[in-house]
Amino acid sequence: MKVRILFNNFINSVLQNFLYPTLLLAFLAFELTMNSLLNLNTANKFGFLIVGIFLMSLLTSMNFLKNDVQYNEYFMQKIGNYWLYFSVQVLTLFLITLFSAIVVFLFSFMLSSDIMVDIVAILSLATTGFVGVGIAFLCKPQWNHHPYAGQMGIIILVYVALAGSSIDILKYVSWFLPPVSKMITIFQEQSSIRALVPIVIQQFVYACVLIVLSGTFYEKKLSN
Amino acid sequence: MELITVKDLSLQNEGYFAFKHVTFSLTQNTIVSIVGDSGSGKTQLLSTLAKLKTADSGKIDYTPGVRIGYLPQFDPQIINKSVRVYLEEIRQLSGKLAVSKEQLKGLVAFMGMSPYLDRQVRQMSYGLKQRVNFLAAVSGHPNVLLLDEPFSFQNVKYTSNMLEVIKDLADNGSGVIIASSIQDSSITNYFDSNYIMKNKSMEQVRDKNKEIKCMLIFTVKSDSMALTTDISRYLAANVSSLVELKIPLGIKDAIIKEMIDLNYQFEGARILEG
Repeated sequence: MKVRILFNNFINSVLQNFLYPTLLLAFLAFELTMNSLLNLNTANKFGFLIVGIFLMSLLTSMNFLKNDVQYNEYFMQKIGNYWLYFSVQVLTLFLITLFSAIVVFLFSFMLSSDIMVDIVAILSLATTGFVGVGIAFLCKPQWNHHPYAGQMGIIILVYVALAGSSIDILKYVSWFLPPVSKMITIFQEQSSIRALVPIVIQQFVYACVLIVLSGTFYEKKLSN
Repeated sequence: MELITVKDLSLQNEGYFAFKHVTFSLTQNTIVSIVGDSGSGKTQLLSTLAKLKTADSGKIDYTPGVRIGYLPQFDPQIINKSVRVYLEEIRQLSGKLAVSKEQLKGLVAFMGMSPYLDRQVRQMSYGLKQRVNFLAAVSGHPNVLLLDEPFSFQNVKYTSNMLEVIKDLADNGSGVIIASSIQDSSITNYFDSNYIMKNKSMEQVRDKNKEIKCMLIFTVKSDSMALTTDISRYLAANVSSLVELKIPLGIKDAIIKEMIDLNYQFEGARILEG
């Protein structure tokens, strides 16, 4: 019962100001026209999809967390369980991201006859989106008491996520960085979707670590 | 039995005290009134008691098994559901201890919400939303009920009905805290203890029959008119273009409006105990 109420509320929060549908449709429109506009090969096109879904899920999650702070100030009191509230928030955004990944991949016209390749490609996009969700959660104090720290955190994390694997000085701490650019470079080097499986797992674990850190750091103690 | 015990509680927001050194306890079968000006810290105190904020110092002890019902001053949540569905969901959230479906139906009728059951909550006026939120707060049959400005936008009939529901809850073992910036003398009889928030601290009003007074300060302008007899009976001082009125807190807003209509410049207000 509580999960259903939370899920309905969070879906409404995601869709409230039409940012998510707008981003998704704009992305699809660009995706449909970019073949003739940019004349990209598959490797570059997939890289574009990775960057696009990362930014889209990051913006969608930031928008959701802002709406949550703005409108659901007293909602958690009715639920009375921080971890349930937090878990359903994460689950909602993961499902939205998975949906986006499926739609974006279908409209990329990169479907292969090998269903495993398609699944790995969709999971690659989805876990990249999960990293965006994780970064948004980690920097959520930007909607509360630390606006500048949160915004700086977003800028730094997005930069290292997209440029991390191409900056020499960062290679010693590459395990510490969001593995988004790593996924693009590995695909461009090996031109094989199947080669992305380890990065998919790494991205999923990375996103989960960010989310657990966020949940623990910003836990709302429901007592005094 | 004590439901909530608050000891030396303080909360700061960005370096400013929302309230400080608050000490009191809420027991079963009691209705506590907290009165204070806007910005005196009532809402912050109730949010802290409702576990929505964490105090900087001090302690709140909740008796095990306490279930809190909370009516915020203004709930920004956008509810895309009908009143019927929303209240039923909130009732079910509280599990077996909530009021029964029939009791909720009775409460809805008592609060005059029956004609609006199929209307969406987000489409309602502030007054109706306030009643829906009041019903949501009591539908879980809480043993601690925290009400922040519950009577705003309500007429005498529904204020009285709300008080009947509150009294019924208190008679059945709950403790209730009502925070408001104005208090009509007609409702003071419902309260078992009265507190006043001033200078960010909370003090108990020992003599509950004593009316809470407020001092209003105005300056005289060149086009100010003479004070009416209704107002001049509250006159405390009239020197050097400064008019001070000592009035019951309940009529503060009405007097300010009347004085502004008479072209006096409103300078400020402060609450006086007793």
